[in-house]
Amino acid sequence: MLIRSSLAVFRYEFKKSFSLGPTILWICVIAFPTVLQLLIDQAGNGIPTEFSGVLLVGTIPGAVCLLTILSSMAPYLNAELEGNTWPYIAVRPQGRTSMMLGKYLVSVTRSIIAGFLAIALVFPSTSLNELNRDIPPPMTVRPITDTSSKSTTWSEVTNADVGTEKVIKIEKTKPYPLWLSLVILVILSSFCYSSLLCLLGTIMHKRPMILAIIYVLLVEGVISLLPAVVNASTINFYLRSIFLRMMGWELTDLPNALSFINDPNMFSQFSTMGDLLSLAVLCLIFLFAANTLLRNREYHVGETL
Amino acid sequence: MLQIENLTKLYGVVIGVNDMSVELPSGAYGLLGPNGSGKTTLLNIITGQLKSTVGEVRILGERPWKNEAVLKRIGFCSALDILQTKTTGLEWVTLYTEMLGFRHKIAVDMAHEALDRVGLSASDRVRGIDQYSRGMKQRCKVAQAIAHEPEILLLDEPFSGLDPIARYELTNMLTEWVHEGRGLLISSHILHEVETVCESFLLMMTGRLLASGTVNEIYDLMTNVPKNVWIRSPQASKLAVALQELDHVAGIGLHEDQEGLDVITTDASSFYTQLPGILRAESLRIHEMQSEDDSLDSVFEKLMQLHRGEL
Repeated sequence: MLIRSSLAVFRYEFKKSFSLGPTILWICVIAFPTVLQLLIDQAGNGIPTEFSGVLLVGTIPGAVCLLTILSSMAPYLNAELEGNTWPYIAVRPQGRTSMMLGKYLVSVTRSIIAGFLAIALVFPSTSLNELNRDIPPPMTVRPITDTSSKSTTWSEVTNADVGTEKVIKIEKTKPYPLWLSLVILVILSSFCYSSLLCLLGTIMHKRPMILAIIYVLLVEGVISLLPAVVNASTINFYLRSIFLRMMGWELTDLPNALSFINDPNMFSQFSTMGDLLSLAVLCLIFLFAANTLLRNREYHVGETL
Repeated sequence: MLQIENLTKLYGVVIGVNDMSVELPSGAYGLLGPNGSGKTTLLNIITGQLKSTVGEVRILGERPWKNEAVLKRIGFCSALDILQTKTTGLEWVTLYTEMLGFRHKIAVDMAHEALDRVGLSASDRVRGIDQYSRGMKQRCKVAQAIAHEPEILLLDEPFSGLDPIARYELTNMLTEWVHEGRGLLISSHILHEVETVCESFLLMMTGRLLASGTVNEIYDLMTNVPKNVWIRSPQASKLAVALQELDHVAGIGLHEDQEGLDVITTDASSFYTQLPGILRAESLRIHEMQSEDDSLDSVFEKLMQLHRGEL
């Protein structure tokens, strides 16, 4: 019954989400990475092409997907409360959970569609198509001596001057093409960020967008980049670790300005499977917490007395 | 149908429902009270949207809070207007029917049937709700409550925004519903419609239950409640002197035109019996006499005054 009910919400909300205003805004968001890349292409040689790959990670899963999720998932509960439709959900058996799951699926679907469209648009219409074929690393890398390794692991490199440092040892033979890495990243970020914003929208249902934006900027934007253990609790941490492995990039010889990235704490020390598992656990924790709150809280709509 | 025991609901320091106890067997009940009297809070507790702070509510023998089984057996229509949504009335009612566990196709059929019953035309039900009048939205709201044929229907201000024809149709539908032997609890300000549909009433004010029972039972409660009688007589001052001798006359007011009298009696029945004798004995004439009507409005007003200590 929960599945049927959730699918009913999904069908209803998905159809409703394609109203004119939000769709125009959505298309603009989808076109944003392509427009940005076209502007970069027009600028000529000023910006190295190698950084375009990193820019795409920032603009497609980081902007297109996240903005889509922000607009659809963060206000999921607020929309029902403000629209006075909450009482009809609350009096349905498992109505609260099915509403949450249905809207979660809508958010994931819209985010994946947006991400895929952005990827499909950016490669053929910009100079990135070449980058996609050659898969050049966007940062200066130094191949590790042990190229026979088939799995992504950390290894220690000893240097007489610097001492011992941990670096990522990555399989270099079969890196994923950039487009495929982005597709995987879009799928993962859609599921994960939707569950995160679902929880945020449940916790602070009165001003969900404000809280969600502040949280995403502060935690996923700033804290996730801190070379400290705390960043392991962010989604960004696992996503970038997975992306790094998929692309076959090694961060052993970075420019000085980016040397902080070479800190072992900047990336996950698990395997890719471990990272995927961590993301799945985070997702489940967020959804479980949101559902527990939703089922146990009393929500007041309009004039209650 | 409904058992409420020492129910209290607090919103911080504000009391929504105050120590309410009542037991209602299956039937049709009107829940009456002014704004802020706690009607909606009570309905929200009964439908499992809110939980009680103190006390217990049981509907169909079960506690409603987080009780999935009992929620499927009740239908609820909120007083709040639907503000959002560009989707059609049919889609809207179908969604809430599907959320009760029905398959899509079955839910669509049930939604059509419910919309037929509330009188929303086939052309209107495929228009966006944002284009609906308040009355059409009201019909839609009632339709989602009855689509799954619940055992008990709880309606919060269902007549609000309806035109006279729609009110008549809804009243007929609800009367039919009650005749089918199903439970009904209506909260309303429009007492006339409630009086038509329901035999028994719950009167609430400031979160308290002032009275409950049939209209006659409530009248019995008010036996000693003073009633006003207005008399027009050319000898009003003489009549006032004669009436003040009666024990049950609690007060008399003479109008400025010296022809009108406001008499307050604690026993209206005795007053009406004794008045002709007094008029005959004193050779007085009266041209006009009006007493407070016995409609539910006046009963309610009196109970309110009694509760406030004004009587």
